[in-house]
Amino acid sequence: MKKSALLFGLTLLAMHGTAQGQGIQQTKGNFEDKFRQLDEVLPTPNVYRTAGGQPGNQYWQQQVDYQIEVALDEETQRITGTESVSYKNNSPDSLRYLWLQLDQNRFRTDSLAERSVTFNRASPDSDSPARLSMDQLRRLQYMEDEQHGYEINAVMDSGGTALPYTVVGTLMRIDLPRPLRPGQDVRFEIDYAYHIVNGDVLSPRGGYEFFPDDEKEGGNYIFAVSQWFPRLVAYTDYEGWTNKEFLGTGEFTLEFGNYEVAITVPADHVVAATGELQNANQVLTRTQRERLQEAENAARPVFIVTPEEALENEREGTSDTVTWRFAAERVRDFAWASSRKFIWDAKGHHQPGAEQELVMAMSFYPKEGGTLWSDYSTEVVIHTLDVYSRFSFDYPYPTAQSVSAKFVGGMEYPMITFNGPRATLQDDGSRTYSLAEKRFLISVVIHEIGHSYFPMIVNSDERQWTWMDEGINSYLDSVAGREWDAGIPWSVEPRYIVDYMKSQNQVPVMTQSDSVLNLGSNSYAKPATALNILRETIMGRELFDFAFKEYSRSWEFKRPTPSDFFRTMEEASGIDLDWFWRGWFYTTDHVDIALNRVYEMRLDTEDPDIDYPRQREIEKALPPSVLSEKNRAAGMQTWVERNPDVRDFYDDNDQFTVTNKERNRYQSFLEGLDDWERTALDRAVAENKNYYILEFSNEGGLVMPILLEVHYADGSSEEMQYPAEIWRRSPHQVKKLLVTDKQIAGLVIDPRQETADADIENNYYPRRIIPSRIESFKSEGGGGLVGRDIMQDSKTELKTDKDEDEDEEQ
Amino acid sequence: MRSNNLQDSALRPLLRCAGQLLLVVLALAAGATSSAHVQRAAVTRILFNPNTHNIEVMHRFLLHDAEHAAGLIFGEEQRFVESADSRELFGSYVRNRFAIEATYQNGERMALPLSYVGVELDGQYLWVYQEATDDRPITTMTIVNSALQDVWPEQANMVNIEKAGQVHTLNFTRDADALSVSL
Repeated sequence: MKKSALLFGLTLLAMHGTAQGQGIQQTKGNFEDKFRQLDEVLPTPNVYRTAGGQPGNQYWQQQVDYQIEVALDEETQRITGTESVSYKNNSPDSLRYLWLQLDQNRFRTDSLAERSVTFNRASPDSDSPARLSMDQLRRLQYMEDEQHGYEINAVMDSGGTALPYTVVGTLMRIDLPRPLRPGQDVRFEIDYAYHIVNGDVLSPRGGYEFFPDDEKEGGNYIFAVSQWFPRLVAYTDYEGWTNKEFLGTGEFTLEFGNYEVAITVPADHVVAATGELQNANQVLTRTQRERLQEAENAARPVFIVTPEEALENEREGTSDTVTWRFAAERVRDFAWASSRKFIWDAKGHHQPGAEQELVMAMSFYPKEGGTLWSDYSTEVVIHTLDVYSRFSFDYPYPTAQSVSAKFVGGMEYPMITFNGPRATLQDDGSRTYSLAEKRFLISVVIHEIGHSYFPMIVNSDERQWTWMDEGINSYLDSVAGREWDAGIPWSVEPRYIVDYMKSQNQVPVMTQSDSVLNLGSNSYAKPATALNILRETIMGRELFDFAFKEYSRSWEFKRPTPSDFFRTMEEASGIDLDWFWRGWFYTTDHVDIALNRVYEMRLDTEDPDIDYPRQREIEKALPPSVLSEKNRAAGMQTWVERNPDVRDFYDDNDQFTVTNKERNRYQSFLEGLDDWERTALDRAVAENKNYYILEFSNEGGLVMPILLEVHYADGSSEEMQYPAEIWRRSPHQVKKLLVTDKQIAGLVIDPRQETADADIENNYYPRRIIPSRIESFKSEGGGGLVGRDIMQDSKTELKTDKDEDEDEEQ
Repeated sequence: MRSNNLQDSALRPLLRCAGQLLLVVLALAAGATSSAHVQRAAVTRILFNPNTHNIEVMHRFLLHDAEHAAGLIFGEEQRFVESADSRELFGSYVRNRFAIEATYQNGERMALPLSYVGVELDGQYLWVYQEATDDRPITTMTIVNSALQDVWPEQANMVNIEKAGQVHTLNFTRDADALSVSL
C-alpha cells in the first residue's frame, strides 16, 4: 500500500513542480498552450551559457589532474593507493573547501543508499511467513562479513601537512587552509584503501569476478576496477558543487583532467586501462610489442596475448608484481581491469586528418568469452567509432577498449568499457553462443563504446539527467546498430515505447536520475525514440544531423545541460521545437491522434443547370421508402400506376426542373460578382474538385504532426503531412480542409507507425478493426516463420515419391 | 491502486508455491546485474478485447534477458531464436509466475482461468500470450507478476490493464507480492 501511495505521490509532485515552474498560468477556461515557449522553464541565459545553447564567452570549468599509485592485492581483493591531486580553480568564485566523491562508501552498511532500501512485501502473519530470497540472504551476510567503503588514511597538502576533512556519506569535504582564488591551483594528497566488492553479490559497476573452477589452486579473478579513487565533485556554473549523495542510480558528474596512473599487480596479469601504456618495454614481451605494432594496420584484430597463451597463463599464479604505467589526457574519469586470464586482441582504427589519427581498438576477455569475443568485440569497437564520429566529432583518444566482466551488463568509462556477454561451455568442451547472445554483445559494445562520446566527452551531468547520456546514446547506438546489420532489430522503433507512454505510473523524462521510475523506458528508450522521431519524421535527417553535430561539437570536452541541448537543436535547425521538448521531455502525455469524422462536400456552383441535376442525383441515391418497397414486394400497385391515363405537368417535371427564372437569377448572380470572383468560380466549376473536411482529435495529449495516407477511389494513394503546429490554437481537436482531384475512399493516420501513436484503430477512416497481438498470432497459426531452428531443420533430407510409398507400406 | 494483503486471496496458494520455488531457483541464479546498459524490465498488456470479449494477456520480454534467465532457471543453455522448445519452456515458466484474481460484481473472487495461447518472437522481444474467455463484469483485478524476479532482483514488470479506452498501470518490483486495481 505504501509503495503505491509513494509512486502516486512522486508523480503528483513532479507534475506539480512542472506546472509551478512555468510561472504563468491559464486561469480562465481550459485552453492549454502546448506551443508555449520554454522561456520560463529553461534557465536564464548568461555569460556561461548562451540563449542559443552554446558555451558562453566566459564559459569555464575546473581542471583536475591526478597522479595515482595503486597496488592490487589479489589474495585479499584489496586496493591500496596514493593520489596526488592538482586542482585548478577556473571559476570566478573563491573556494574555501573542496568536495570529493567517495563512491565506494555506497557499499557501507550505514550508507544512505543501503539505509533507504525498502521492504515492501506483504507483512508476515501466522499463515504466511515473510519471504527472503537466497540472494537477499547472501547479500546480507556478505555485507555483514566484509567491510566496504573507503579507508582514508591521510589527507595532506603538498608540504605534507594534514588537511582537515569531513566525510559525509559518499562525499568528503576537504577544508583549505586559505580560500582558493579564481585562477589559483592547489595540490593535495590522499592515502586510501578499500576492499573491492564481489561483482556477483553486489552487482556493482566495478568489482571482481571470481573463477573458482579454474585449474589454478584458489581460482582466478577478473578485476574490473572503477570508482576506485577519491574523485573531485564537479563545481559548476549551474549548480555550484554537484554534491548530491550517490544512491546508486544517478551516475557521475565529473571534471576533465590529465592522469598519470601506476598500477601494481601480480606479474602475470594483463592490465587494460584508460589512456595509453607508458612502459610497454617493461611490462610486455618483445613479441607482444611487435604484435601491437602489427595490429596498427591489420585487416582483422591481432592477438597480443593469444587464447593459448592466456590459458597457459591462468594455470598458475605468481608472487611477483609488476607496475603498469598509463597516461591519459583530457578525460573525466579513469578505470582499469586486470587479470591473468585475459586474451588480448587489437586492431588500429585510422582517422586520416584527425588530431588522433591512429586509435588502437582493443579487447580483453577470458577463454569464457570464446570466439564471440575474438570475432566481434574489437570489430564492433571500430564500427562504433566510425559511426559516432560521423555524427559528432573525430574520436580524440588513442585507445578504445572492451573488457569482458560478466557481472556488469555493460558499463562505460573513458577509453574503456566493461561488457557482460559470454559464450557457453558445451559438454564437448566447445564454447558456443546463441543468436540472441551475439546480438547482445554487438549492441552492448556499441552502446558502451558510444558512451565514450556521450557523456565521456560531451560531459553531461549524469547524476541529474540520465537521459542526456543514456537517451542520446541509445538513439545513436540504434543508428550504429542499423549500420552494422539492418536485419537486427534495434530498440528505437516507435511502436515499442507505446505501452510505457500510455502507462499511468510514470514521471517526465526531465526528472532527477534517482527519482526516475522505470529507468529503462524513461531515460533510455523514450528519449531515444523521441530523437529518432525528431530525425526521421519531424526535422528530417539533414537538419537534425546538422544540429546534432553542432551540439556535439560545441560541447566537446565541455559540460552541457538539457537546456543547452534543447536550444542548440532549435538554433542550428531553425525549427521551433519547444512544443516537442515540452511534450516528450516535460510531460507524461502520449501520442494518440484520431481521425473521427470526414465530411465530403461539393462546390455549390450557383448554376441551376449544374446544381439541380446534382441534387436530383443525390435524392435518387437515397434509399427508397421501406413502406413502398414492401408494398411493391407484396405486388401492390399505387393509384398512379393503376391509372396511367391521368397525367399532368408534374408527372414530367420534378422539383429539380430548371426554369428560366433560376437561369435569370444565376445571370444576375454572375453580374454581381467582381472579375476575380468570377474567375475563381469559373475555374472551380471547371476543375470540379472534391472537398473534404477532416476532424482530428488529440486523445493522447502530445501534439505531433499528422501523417496522412489518402486512399482514392481509383485505387491510388498519396501521403501528406500536416505539421504539429496545426494544433497550436486548438490542442484537443482540429479540422482540416482537404481538396483533391480524385474521390477519397479512405484515410490512415501514421501508416508506417513512426510517431508512437498508441491507438491504431482510430487512425483509420472508415474505422477498421485492428486485431490484437493475440488475434494476429492465432490467425497466423502461431508464430509464422520466425524462430524456426533452420540450422537444425536444414539437415532434414528431402523426401522422394519412393520414400512416401515406403511410408505408406509401413 | 493498493497492495493487497492476500489474507483471503485465491492467489495465496500460487504465491506460496512461487515462494518455495524461489528458494530452489535462486540456488542456480546469478546475482543481479547492474549496468549502464541492461535494464531488467518487462511489459504486460492485459486487454479486455471488445471484439472477441476475451481478456487477453500479452507479456513482452527482452529476448536476451529472457534467454539468459531461462538458462539459469532450467540449468542449461536455452536458445530462443533457434529453438521452439526453448521458447515454450520459457512460456511455461512465465505462466507459473503470473496470475490474476478477479472480483466480480456479486463480490465473488476467483483466480481467472488463463489458457495458454503461445509464444512469439518479435525482433528483440519475446511475447508470451495467455487469455481468458470469462466475460462476466470484473470490478477488481488482483495480480501477481514475479516473472524473472527470482533471477534478477531488480527486474521490474509493468502491467497495463486496458479496458474501454482506460489504462490502469501496476508496477511489480521484487518487493511487490500482489497488486490490485479497481476497474
